[in-house]
Amino acid sequence: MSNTTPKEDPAAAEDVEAWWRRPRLRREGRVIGGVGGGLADAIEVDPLVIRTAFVVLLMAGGLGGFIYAALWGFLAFTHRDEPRTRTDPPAIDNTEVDRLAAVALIATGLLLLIRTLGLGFVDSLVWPVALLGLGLVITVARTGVDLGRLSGITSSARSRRSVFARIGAGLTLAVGGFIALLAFNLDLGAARDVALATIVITGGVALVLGPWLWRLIDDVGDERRKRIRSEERSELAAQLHDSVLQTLSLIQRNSDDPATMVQLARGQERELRAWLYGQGPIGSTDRLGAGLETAAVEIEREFTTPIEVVVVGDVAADSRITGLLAAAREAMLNATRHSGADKIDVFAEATPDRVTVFVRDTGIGFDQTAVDEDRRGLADSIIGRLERLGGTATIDTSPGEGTEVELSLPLLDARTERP
Amino acid sequence: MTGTAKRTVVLVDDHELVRSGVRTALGDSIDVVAEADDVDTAIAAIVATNPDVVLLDVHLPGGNGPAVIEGIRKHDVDPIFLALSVSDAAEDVIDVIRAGARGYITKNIGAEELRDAVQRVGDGDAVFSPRLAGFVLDAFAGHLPKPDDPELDQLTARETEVLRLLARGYAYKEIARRLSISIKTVESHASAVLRKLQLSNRHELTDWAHRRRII
Repeated sequence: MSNTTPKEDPAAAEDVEAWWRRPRLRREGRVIGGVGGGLADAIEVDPLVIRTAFVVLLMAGGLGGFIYAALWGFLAFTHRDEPRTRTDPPAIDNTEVDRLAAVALIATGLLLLIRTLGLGFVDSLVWPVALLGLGLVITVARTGVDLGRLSGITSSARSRRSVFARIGAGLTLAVGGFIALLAFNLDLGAARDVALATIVITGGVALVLGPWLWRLIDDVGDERRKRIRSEERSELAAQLHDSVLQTLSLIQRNSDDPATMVQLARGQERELRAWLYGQGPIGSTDRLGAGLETAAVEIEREFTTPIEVVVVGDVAADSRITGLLAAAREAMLNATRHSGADKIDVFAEATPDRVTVFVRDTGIGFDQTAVDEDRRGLADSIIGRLERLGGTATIDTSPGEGTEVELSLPLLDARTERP
Repeated sequence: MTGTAKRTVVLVDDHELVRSGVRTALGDSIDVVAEADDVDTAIAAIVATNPDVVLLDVHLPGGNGPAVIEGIRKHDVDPIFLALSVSDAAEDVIDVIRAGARGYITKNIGAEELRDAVQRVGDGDAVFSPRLAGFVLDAFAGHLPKPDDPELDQLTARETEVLRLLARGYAYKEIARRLSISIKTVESHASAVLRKLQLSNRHELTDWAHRRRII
């Protein structure tokens, strides 16, 4: 992931460097050397947080001062060749100073009070906690959203690198804090030590990884919602094919008969309405056998080819059986319209673990390899539908040999009723 | 099949319209020697004419199809009964088959199929419509789990397979080709199924028919 082609993507190069080059001494609104404000700008937190951290560290043994000085020198050196545009006099924000002073005083007072009371807030505890806190601030502040991109759905390499850098820095500080905390406190009571360590580590890890995990879970949910939507679209396409497209093709065939067209259109409107408003397709019934009979009767009424339905065993129609019924209906329609057979046989058998439906005609048959792509009847309404339901659809045909469609659906639980 | 003599048939149905329709469908190749519209006239007509085949409606005034078959047993005639009905009630169909009918066809059958069925049943074959095959599958699969005589009552895997294909609408010769056996073998499987059905425990079957009605 090293950036070897900055010319091709200068924005990326700048962004990669930015996280460690970004801290620079603040020239406006600084208190001392601009170190605190600069750091705050870089990691995009309130300068007050950084300044408070420095004050606390200063109280806790004076290291705050040392770090401040070191950073000041380092930042000044790093950005030494940048033009110094000191046209404006250094403007110290008085409210900032007031706030900082107040916080520093309060912090000092608290620390002194606690020390006096001997409550255990000794240097060995303050240091690690301060480190830990700073690490968490860097990791969590403003990166909560970016962290989510680690799941890889939308992230570019560039933002991923920058996020990794932030997390790396934050984790290093936090882990350093943990280790220091544990190392300094080994002489405490063993039980208290372990309990404390556990709580601290758990809390720290939750704070550091929480936003990322949250985002990840959210993205997984997104993915699922997308899949469900796509399945719904497929189901809708199949439904529209079964009803609306069929009716439109019927209307074309009957274009010289206005009365029939009106009748077809009205019937279709009823059917589509019923489906859209959740009542299920018209004529769907609550059992497999009844559903097949209903479909056969409806198709017989529309065309004239007799459909013989034989059902062995029966099963209550849940949503999967209803899907199976819709596919069987489509197979009956295909046989009626395309086979030229004078009779269609439908045989359904429900056993405790499986429902099988055969739709057979002795008509002209067809060449399965020669079916148009856009004729969605077989592919979507029958085969695709059964696959979505977790079953299979097999078509046994060849030109001149008739056609048999076998729909097979495993039942999830044993609900079949035998007479 | 024989070609030498026309099959003689007695038509038993209480609807005049149905009888005339069936008579027309049978055409010239089959000789309708008598008609009857209830149980008593049917028995009298069959005894008087001694036909090859009786086309028997399942529902008749004065008792149903099985009553005709039972009544004929006392006489010295031995026609083959073929049930012909609009009734799709399983218990009606199974009852008439159990009483001794060699097949069951529905009234919406095509004319050619009807002639073929009469010829075949006259030759001694069992005639299964898909619906009858379905009923028989249902009866054996759903109701006769513990037959008195397992050897006799249970269907073999092959017989069940043949029944399933019959229920799916396959003709004997198509089944023979699919299973790579002779038509004669298919026929003997079908006859064996009928025999087993006729010999199966009556009480259990009645029980099955009753429960079937509830659904």
